[in-house]
Amino acid sequence: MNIIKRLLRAPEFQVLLFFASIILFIWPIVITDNGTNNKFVIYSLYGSWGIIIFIHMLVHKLTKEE
Amino acid sequence: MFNVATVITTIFAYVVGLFAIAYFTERRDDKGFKLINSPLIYSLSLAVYCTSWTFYGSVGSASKSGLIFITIYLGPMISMTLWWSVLRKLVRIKQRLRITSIVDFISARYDKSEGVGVIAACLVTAGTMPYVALQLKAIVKTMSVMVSDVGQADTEILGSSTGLFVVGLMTLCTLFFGVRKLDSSERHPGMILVLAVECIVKLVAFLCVGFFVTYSLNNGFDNLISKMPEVMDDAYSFVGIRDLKDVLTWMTYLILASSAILFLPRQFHVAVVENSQEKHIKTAKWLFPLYLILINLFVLPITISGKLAGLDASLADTFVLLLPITQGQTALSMLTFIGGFSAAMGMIMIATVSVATIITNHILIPLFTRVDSLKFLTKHLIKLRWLVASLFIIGSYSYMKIVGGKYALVAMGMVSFAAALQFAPVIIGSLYWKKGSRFGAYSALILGATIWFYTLVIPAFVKSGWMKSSLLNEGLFGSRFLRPEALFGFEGYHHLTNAVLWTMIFNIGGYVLGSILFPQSNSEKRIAKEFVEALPHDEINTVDLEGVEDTIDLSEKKVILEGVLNSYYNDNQVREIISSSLEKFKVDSKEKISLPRLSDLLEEIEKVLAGVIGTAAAHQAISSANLLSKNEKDELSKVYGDIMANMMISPREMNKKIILFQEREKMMEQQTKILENTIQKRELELEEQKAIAFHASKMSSLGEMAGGIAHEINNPLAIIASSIGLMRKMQEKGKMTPEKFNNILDNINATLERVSKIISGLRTVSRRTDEDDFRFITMLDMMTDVLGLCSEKFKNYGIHIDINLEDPLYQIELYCDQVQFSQVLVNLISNSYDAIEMLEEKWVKIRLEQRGNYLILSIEDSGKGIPKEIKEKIFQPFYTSKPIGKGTGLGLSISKKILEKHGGSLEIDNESKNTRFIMTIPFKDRSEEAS
Repeated sequence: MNIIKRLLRAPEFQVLLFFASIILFIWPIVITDNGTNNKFVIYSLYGSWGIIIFIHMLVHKLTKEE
Repeated sequence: MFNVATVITTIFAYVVGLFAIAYFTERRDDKGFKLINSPLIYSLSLAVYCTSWTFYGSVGSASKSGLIFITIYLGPMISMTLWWSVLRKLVRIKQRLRITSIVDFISARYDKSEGVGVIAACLVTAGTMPYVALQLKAIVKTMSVMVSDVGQADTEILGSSTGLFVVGLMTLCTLFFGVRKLDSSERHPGMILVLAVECIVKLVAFLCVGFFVTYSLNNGFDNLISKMPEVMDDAYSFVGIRDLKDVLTWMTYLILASSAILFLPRQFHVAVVENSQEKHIKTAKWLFPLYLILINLFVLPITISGKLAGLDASLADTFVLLLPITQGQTALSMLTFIGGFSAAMGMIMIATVSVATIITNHILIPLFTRVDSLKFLTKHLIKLRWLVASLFIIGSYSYMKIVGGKYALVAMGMVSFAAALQFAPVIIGSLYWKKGSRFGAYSALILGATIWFYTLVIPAFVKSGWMKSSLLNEGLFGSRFLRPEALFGFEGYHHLTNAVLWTMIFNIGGYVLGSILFPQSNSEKRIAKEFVEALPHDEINTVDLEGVEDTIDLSEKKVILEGVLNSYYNDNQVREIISSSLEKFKVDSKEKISLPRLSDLLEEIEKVLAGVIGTAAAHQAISSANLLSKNEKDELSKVYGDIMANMMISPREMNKKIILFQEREKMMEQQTKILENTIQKRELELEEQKAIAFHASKMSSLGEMAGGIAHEINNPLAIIASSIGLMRKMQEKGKMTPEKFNNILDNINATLERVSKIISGLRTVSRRTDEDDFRFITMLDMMTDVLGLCSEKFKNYGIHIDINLEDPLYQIELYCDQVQFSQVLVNLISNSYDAIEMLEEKWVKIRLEQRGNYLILSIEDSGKGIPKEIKEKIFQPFYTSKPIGKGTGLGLSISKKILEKHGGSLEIDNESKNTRFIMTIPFKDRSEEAS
């Protein structure tokens, strides 16, 4: 658990998350022929949004005592 | 359709409610109840990002350009991943330097430069005005929707008086909530709580409309999304990406939104200046995105539904309000209107507070301090801020009237976002690049602001008919190469892409080149280091001044300092600031101080002053006061040089040592944390041990009485057995009459009741409680329980208990923990027993009397009293005079503690020739306790 906490605290992890968020938000548009499948794009975008919120919550929970 | 009076009354009632919340919060805050020191309030206040532009404009944007509106919220989501590094650093620097605004931050970093402050302040003012205009436009427009015929938004219907009403109301709210304190670095609890409430109101309102439109007007989310092709022009019009131009437009919006979340002046204000604890950032990192996703959830359903309902596409900015109105949903329409009003009001308030502080601190004060005839105005800072705030709102209203009429909400907002982007390079650079210099900042801001003005503001003026369209089509001096929306031949792309590209190239280029070509001064190097190394926090240690003589006349310097501060504070405040600074350095009682100490003192006072007028102006005020003469400055350099020389250390070694000490400090902090955790753990264990010891002591007293208790129960059982035997015999002999039968049964019943009482007493006294259980109970009930346990044992040993339970005083109710109190009585009576069981004369006298609000209970026995040498130790834990194995030594100490916890006391009567303990117990009636 300590290794995970140390990882979550690391600035490198924040940078990784930064790029991961960009990819998560872009892939639905790229993968569906520039976003012509409306439904897929919308649900994927909101899904990615939810995933990122969840990761932030997790990081907060695990590093709360700092 | 509503009438104007209803709409205005509702707004008025809502604002009065907010006033009440702010007033209550400020009062609680003054009393020390920090209501807003909560991560929830902090996260909600960040949602001031979602203005009326979000509330109404998102649907307008989605209707026109499809999904691109979402980039305004995805941008913050992306940049927030780095908040723990970036925002935390900003907050830490703010705390250390008492930063009051984004301009103050920039100015403080770049050598406390007033020039940089002025440029940044102008950019903030010009960049924020369109945004505030946008909010005013939203309020006026939605008011007109509320009072116009369904499906129309005739702003003329309201007349100019409504616009003035909105301006007046906004000004009043801003002055009341945000511009009441002189020290801008102080937080505004009332305003922040109001902001949080408004954020909840707008979210609830938007979700209500969303639910109504999606699930009442239509068949759910999925169904509405399926109908999207019916309302969009073609497959691409939704996501809006078909070529490189579209990709770049998306990128542009993402970049603008990523920077706006932190560098819009109002966002900087709530995120940095109003931050009370760094750890709140962690909560905000997930709570704020959650807020964003919720407020965006129904944008597309509302857009599609509005189009399906046949509403005019030109009114898409007001679909959110029009849909409930066209469906005759009066309450929902009003709630939506208030939600939109909240979104606009929150933004106007916080943006105006921020701009008013910036203009007074970075434009007016430097001006007033330079012009002698205007110097007296520095005494009226708070009134100046009121004036600036009012003028700013009036100016924004004028902007709305002139430019806003022809410009969509989204376009106006993006102009402000692009202005905020101009701060990003100098701020990010200030946090991570030590070489970023004042000249770099000058170049970046001047070039960025110029290109921003040329590529975005001028086109806005042209489109509003304020300037000739030839400038837009033919370019400056008729050169197509200089067309504002296709600068340097960058043609065929979105005008925002054009603006962002060129502003950033010039801004960043100017910053880097300026910093490289014009290196920093020594003072700037020191500040740059402090900013870049803000994490981890390193307190600047004061130098060991032993050996440095106190040669500076403090009273002389105090007079000069008073003169400087008098320009901004009244006499009392000046005295208070100086005396608290003197106290901080422990020189308040001295007549003379050393030069380095004077330097520390000046630095401290400059920080305090910076909270009011900004770092640059404060620095200017202190340095221009000539507090240090040339000789003193030279002397100061020499003293610091001597200190270094005495330490026999080179600057390089000094630096190494500092790093070593910093590392050591970090380790010590970690060790302290571990130690704190261990102490906490030990404390918990100790508490547990104490509880066990307390119970053990109680059980020991009870154990000593066990013999008596057994007798007490055994005797009644014998009586019951003989009664049953008698009944059987009489029945066999046929002598049992109904009367005799009833008599025997009554006897058995009474005996059983006696047994029941003994057991109840035993259970009460022996119960283990970890928490206090206070309740009202009479002394009679408690005494009956306790005597029930002891009387048989006392009887067996011929000890007479002298007590009069008929005394009405025993009926007085005490508010106490029955278990603990009974424990005290058992302890004392048990002690008496131990003391006198072998004596010839054996008695225990229990007396109760009343003195005011106290009951005095004395327990006296026939013992010969307690020897003087023992008296002092008798209440100490683990002290006992009894033979080994007979007592724990905790009885009296625990009893004393219990009584003290009840507000009473336990003492030995020194006057009595026998052993006599006196308990003092407070009592109160039930009505007192209820209150």
